[in-house]
Formats: sequence, C-alpha cells, structure tokens
Amino acid sequence: MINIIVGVITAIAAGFLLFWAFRPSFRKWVEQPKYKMLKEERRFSEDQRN
Amino acid sequence: MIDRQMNRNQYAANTKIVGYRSAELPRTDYDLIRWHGHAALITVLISALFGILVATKFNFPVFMGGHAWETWGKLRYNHTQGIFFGWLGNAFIAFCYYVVPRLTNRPATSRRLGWGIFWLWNFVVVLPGWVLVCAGFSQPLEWAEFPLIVDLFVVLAFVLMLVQFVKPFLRVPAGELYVSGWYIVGGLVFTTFAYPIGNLVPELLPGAKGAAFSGLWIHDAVGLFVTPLALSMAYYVIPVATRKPIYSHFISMMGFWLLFFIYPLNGTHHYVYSAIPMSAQRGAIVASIYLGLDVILVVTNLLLSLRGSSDKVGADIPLRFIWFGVVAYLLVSLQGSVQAIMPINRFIHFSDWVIGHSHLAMIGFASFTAAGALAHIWSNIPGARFNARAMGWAFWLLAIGLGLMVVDLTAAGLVEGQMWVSRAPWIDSVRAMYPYWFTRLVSGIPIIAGFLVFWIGLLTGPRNALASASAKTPGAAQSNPGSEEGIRSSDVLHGTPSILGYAFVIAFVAGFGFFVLSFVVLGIVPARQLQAEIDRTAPRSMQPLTAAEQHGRQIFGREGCAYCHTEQVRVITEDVRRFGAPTAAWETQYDYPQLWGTRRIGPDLAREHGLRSDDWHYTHLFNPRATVPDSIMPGFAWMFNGSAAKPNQDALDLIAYLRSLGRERELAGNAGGEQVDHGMAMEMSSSFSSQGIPETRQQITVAGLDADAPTFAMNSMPNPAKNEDGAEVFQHNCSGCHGVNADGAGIAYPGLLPHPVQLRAEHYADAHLATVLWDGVYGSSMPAWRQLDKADLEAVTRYIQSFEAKVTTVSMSPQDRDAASKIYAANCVSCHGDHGAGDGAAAGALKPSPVNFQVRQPSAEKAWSVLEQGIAGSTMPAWKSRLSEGERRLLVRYVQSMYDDGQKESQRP
Repeated sequence: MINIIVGVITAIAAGFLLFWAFRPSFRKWVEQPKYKMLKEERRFSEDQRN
Repeated sequence: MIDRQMNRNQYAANTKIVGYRSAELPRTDYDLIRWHGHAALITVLISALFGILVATKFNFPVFMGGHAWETWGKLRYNHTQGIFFGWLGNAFIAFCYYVVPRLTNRPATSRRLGWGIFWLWNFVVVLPGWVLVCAGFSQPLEWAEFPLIVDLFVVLAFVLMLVQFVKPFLRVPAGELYVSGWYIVGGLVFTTFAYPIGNLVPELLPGAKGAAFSGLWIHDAVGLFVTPLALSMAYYVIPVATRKPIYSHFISMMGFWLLFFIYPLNGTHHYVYSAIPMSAQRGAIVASIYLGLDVILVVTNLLLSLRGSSDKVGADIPLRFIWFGVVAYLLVSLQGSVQAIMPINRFIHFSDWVIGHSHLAMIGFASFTAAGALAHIWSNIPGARFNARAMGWAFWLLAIGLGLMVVDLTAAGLVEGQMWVSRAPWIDSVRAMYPYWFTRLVSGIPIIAGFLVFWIGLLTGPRNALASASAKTPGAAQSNPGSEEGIRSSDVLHGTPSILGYAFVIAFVAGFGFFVLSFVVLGIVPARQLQAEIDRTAPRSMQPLTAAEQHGRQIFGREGCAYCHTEQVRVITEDVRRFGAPTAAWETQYDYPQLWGTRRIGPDLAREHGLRSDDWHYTHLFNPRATVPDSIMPGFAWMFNGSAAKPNQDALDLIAYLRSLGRERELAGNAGGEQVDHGMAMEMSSSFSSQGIPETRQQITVAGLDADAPTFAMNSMPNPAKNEDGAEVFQHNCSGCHGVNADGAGIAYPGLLPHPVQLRAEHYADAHLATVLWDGVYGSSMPAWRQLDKADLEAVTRYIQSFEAKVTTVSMSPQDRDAASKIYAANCVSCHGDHGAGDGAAAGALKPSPVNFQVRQPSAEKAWSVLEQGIAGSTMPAWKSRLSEGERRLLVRYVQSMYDDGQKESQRP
C-alpha cells in the first residue's frame, strides 16, 4: 500500500511540475506570496521607523 | 520601565483592526514575545544542565547517585522534554507572535489568551512535568516522557494555540499565504492530533501494536512540530534579512506538501527488524529515502535564496544561525535516510550514532534556526537590548560544541556497532565508550555556555530604537528590497477571503488528512495484522504478569531503564546469537505500554528469565559495579535497607519483573518461534559475514561445545604473557564477586548466597574449571561466561591456576581411612556420593549441586572452615555441633584424598 501512496504522490508532484512548466500565469500566481510577504514586512518596518 | 512604556505605545497604536486590507498595522504582542523568549532561554539552560548531568553520569556513575529523584533515567527524560517543550516550544510560540500579524495582517487572536498559553505552557506543562518525572510519575515512551496528566494540558495548549495562531490565517486569501504560514498552520494542526494519539495509544494498545504508534509519534514530534516551525523561521528570516524574496515559492510549496505527506510515514523506521509487520517497516524505509529527496529540494531552495548574500551570512548574526540550521537540516536528513536502510540500520541502530543524529537535528537544525529567529525578532522589538558581540560568541560556542559532540558520537556509534556484531562481551563495548563519553561530556560545556551567552546577548547591549530589522541588525547591508519583476496586479489572482482559503486546505489536508493517512497506514493496519498474528501464534497458556511483576514493570519504566536496556531481540543474526530468540508479537500482548526501547547501553533484557540468580540481580541493582566492575549503570541503593541482602518491596518487584522477561517464550518452547515472517526469515538466513563485515573475535562455537567438553583450559600451555592477559580479564569480569585478590571478598560478597568461592583456597581440575566458566554454576550467582572468547577464557583459566591452592597429596593410615569412610558414609554420602563426585541420591534436588571432590580439592583450612560453619545459601550444614573435632579432622583429610584431577570424571560414560 505504501508503494501505491508514494506512487500517487509522485504523480501528483509531477503533475504540478508540468502545470508549472506550461502555465506562465500559474508560475506568477504561485510566486506572488514571496513578494507580498516582503511588502508586508516593509510596512511593519517603516511603521516602526516612523 | 521604558520598554513597557514603548510597548504600551505600540499597542495603543496598533490595536485597532479595520478589516483585512487595513492600512493600519495589526497588533504585535511584543511583551509575549519577550516572555516566551526568556522562558525559552531559561528552560534550555535547565534542559542543557540536565543533559550535562546525564553525560557526567556516563563517566562518573556514582555522581549524584544517592537519591531517587536524580537518577540517570529521570534526568534523561527531563532533558529531552525540556528541550522539546521548554526551549523549542517557547521559541516557536514567540516566533508565531511576531510573524502571524506580518503574514496575515491580523493580530494573534487574543492577548488574554496569549497570557493563558504562556502560563499553561510553562507552569502547567514544563515545570510540573519536570517535577513529576523526578517524583516518579512519567511515561516510558520516547518524546512522550511527561505523565499523562501533563499530556492533557499539552493538548489543551495546542488547541488554544490553534485559536491563537491558526485562526488569523483562515481568512487569508488564496495566492497570498506565504510558505511560513503554511508550515505554522500545518504543524500546529498536525501536532494537535498526533500528540494525544502518540501519547495515549501505546497505553491502550500493548507491545508491538503500541510500538507501531510510538514510532509514529517519535518521528512526528521532530518531523511535524519541530521541523515545520523551524522551516517556517528559516523561510521568514532569510528573505527579510537579505531583503530579497526566496528563490522559488513553488519549490517551497512542493517541499511543504511532500514533507507533510512523507514525514508521518517515516516513524516505523525506529523499529526496523522488529516484530512489526515487514510491510510497514519497508514502507517507512521507502518514505525515509523519499524524505531525503524532499529535504534536498527544500534546502536547495533555501540556499539559492541566499545566493549573492554570502557577505550577509557572515555579517548578520541571525542569518548566520539560520544558515547553519539549514545546512544541518540537510546533513541530518540525509543521515536519517541512510540510517533507515536495513544494512546500515542493523549496524548503527541502538548505538551512540543515533544520539549524535538526534543532537544534530535538535541542536544543529532546530536550535540554531530557533536561535536565529529569536535573534532576528529581538533585533526588531522596540526597546529590546541586543548584544551582537555576545551573539557572535554564542554562535561559535554552540557550533564548536555541537561539532565535537556529533563527530564524537558518530564515531562512538560505529565502534559500538562493530563491537556488537563482533561477539565481544557486552561490557567490552561499554569500556570502549569511556573516552567517547568523556568527549561527549566535554562537548556539552561549550553548548550550555553558548546558550548562556546567547541569553546574555538578549539581555545586554544597546537598546533598539524603533527601526527596521535590517537597519539594526549588525552588519546587515542596506540593499534594495525585493522586486516583483514581471508581476503585475492583473497577472495575479487576488483571491477573495474565503472559508475555503489555503489555510483551510492546509489545515485539513496536511494537518488532518496526512495525520489520518499515516496513522492508518503505519498504525492501524499493522496493529490489525499484529493482532491476527497474535491470535494465530500465541500459546493458550500465556499468563499476564503478576501484580508484583507489573509493579516492577512500572518501576522499570519510571527509572528510565528502557533507555539503556532494550526489551526486543531483533530478527538479525547478531542479536539472536547474543540474546536469544527474536521477540515475537505475542510475547508483548500484555505490555502496557511497550518498553522495546530505542537505545542499548546495557544488554537487551528480553531473555533475562533464568539467566542470573536473584542475588546477582539484587547486588547488581544495589551497586552495579559490585558484579560488573566496568558497568556505568547507576546504583539504586534507596530500593534497599542498607545492603544488597535487604531489598525493599520496589527492588523485590523490579527483580521479579526482570525474572519474568522471556519466561513465556521459554515455556512455549519451539511453538513460540513460528511466527517470524518470510522477510525476516530471509534476514536470519543470511549470515552477517557474507555482507562483508568481518568477524573480529575467535570463538568457540556452541555447537562444537555440545559435542566436546570445553578444552580451552587443558589445551593451552603455560605462558607468562597469558597470565597478564588473564589478570586483566579477571579484574574486569571476576573481581567484583571473587575479590581483586581472588580471596572471595569482592564488593558483591555480602549480597550473594552462596558467597563467591575463595579461589586461593581450593584447587580445581582443569576440565572442571573450564566447565564452570562455560556453564556457570546453577543455583549460585556464578554466570556462564560464554561471551568471552577462547583466548580470554584460556587466559583467565591460566591466571586462576597461577594462584589457586596447590594439590595436596594426602596419606592416611588404613585405620584413619576406615574411620573416615564410615563418618563420610553416615553423614556425607547422600549428597556428595559414594566417591565424593557430588552425585549422591539427594544431589539432583539440590542447587547448587554438592561439591565434586574428585575435581575440586579444598585446602585443609577451607575444608575445616566449611565443616565448622557450613555454606550459607546452600544445603551444606555446619557440622561443628554434630561431629567431634577428631571426626572433622579425619573428614578434612578424607575429602582431600578423593581428588584425582578429574580422571574418574573423564572416564564416565
């Protein structure tokens, strides 16, 4: 059973990889949080500075 | 005072929450961060002190050995639980208070709840947990040592943390939840479910079935609580400190999902070669290897996020800690994958290698990351002091201490593993560890000093002005903030805050779904298979433990005995050769909770039944070095009323329990071994030497001995060199009972009945000496010494022969002989036999057997003493009041005259 589960999750991971490779809008969407996080951090920093 | 005022101002400015897209900042509970931060540092110092004391006891077993509350086992329990709850728990909570408002644009749910969690975590969980363990209330399960009553409050604390920290994430829209938030949500939800299951189920499901769940929790504690929170810290501090976004959020997502899927499936790799079904073991091994691949993915992403920032890693203290943690994460994870593989596992499991591995994980990865995150947060708390110089010192102290410890313990594990497969006596492996354990103690000093200096770094130095993290972090460069190249608002899907947001998906799929999956696949399914196996194979006659034995079992768990003595013989050749038949599932069906153990310092005890006398056990428990001079086991003198001969009820019950270990298997006979599954049988049939690891010690085979009497004593020629070797073997193995001068007055003498023989007061035939060494003396505390190799047995035999009493040639007049033979026939023959061969009519019922005078000649003084006083602990009575002095003198000479160096003995059919 463990082999089936690992196989399935590998297939899903591969599916995500393919989706990521062929859908530029997904790539942009999925990377958005890392910019948002820095922007929020900057807000807090600037607020502290002020 | 200034800090408080600043905090008050900060709260006043930030307490008003106006919807998700508020321009105003949500509240950050800086005072809770500070309290949890200080609690983390105080508890890590106490926990590290527990560790130092434990390491000291390895080298000086009598150190702090006089009280029940300070035994090695209890301090070991408190060491690990303190690190888990006190240090890492508080550090993670502090981090959550800092990061949740920044990731969700919402404050933690409630300040009042926050203070409740603080008091609950530290003053209802950590502190009472330590006290209760010392007082003897504990749970003998790894990473679950605090008693169940404390576990209840741990679960409550986790539920409250869900409300406090996870709730703000639930309304964050899809596409905006940063990976640190994923790890916080997933880790807290998973642990809230896994903790009660991992702590409670082994109490309800016995033995092998419970062990399957224990294995899951052992790994979930590290993999689904410590790891997610530490990765959350790394993913947060790296981009903030470098002022650049992480390399790939997509890879971080892949890493997250694979980790939460795979990590829970690893647990059973703690019980490879055990009675747990082979399918579950194989699954855990596959998952362990898969996990290594996932960690490579995660670490690659984190290290690529540091590209172009090597100068900051060197200059920015928090970032330096985080970088170290990430590198350690890679190393320890790859190490973990490798040590799950069966050929490696059989060699290093139970050894100090695993202890080195766990310290690399908990200090190298988790503690360095937590310290980096705390330092980062501290440098951004308004008004907090931050001493960068002290932090720099702390880094190097911790790094040097950890490096020394991991290298030392890894090498120690390899040496132990080699000795365990080599057939060397178990105590040889203990003795070989002395220098490694001393180095380990030394390595703990810079570690505890590092944590102390780190705390000083949080208490001293200039106060922060209200400024950004990077501005106040020493050495941090003022680089450009992260850009959003190519990202326009029209390109991204700004999700609407929804009840089906990412946080819900994470909570229910990663936190709950994968928890259920792992507990079904590696817990419930193996447990059902084990029950079917037990139903099929368990002898109908199997009896549960008696009340006394059950109480002894509780003491065994309470004192932490299972952390040095396993109770499972694994299905591998070298385990079976050393300890006996592999542990079958049915043997454990009354073990609530299982005490299989994951570490061997002393030998396995699963087959202890009938191996040693009760006197030996009492003496060993009272003062382990009395019977095993090189032992590092702590003494348990408070279980006795002043001497080994006066055990109290605890000692009686504990030894009763030890006596029961393996009893049912022995009673079951051959029927007890039929359940080993095919995968395990294949393991057993492959010889160890065929796998390329040479056997290092010459051995007398058991099969060879059964066919021929042991001959090592007779075949070896006198050799002065052997006397020196023999003296060493004697001092290490025999002197505790027989005395360093072989006068029978060893430390163990008072507790052993019959008392150890005075080797200088008797002469032994070569064959008899060899037989005693090989078989032991049934009914006495003299054990069989088959674990010594031939050279050692030869050497110790020659050594004994060098000082034993010389043969006395006795000449008696016919009249004296006739008189003596009549006295002998009237009083001695029923036990010692017609010709003094110890084979009288009553001999079969006596233990120890009556002396065979044909192979053992006492000196005149010794024989006289025995006739006067008898032999305590045997059926030999005192004859002083029954025979006259003249009769006794005749008897002394008569029994001496029976000695024939074993010639008649050897002529027997």
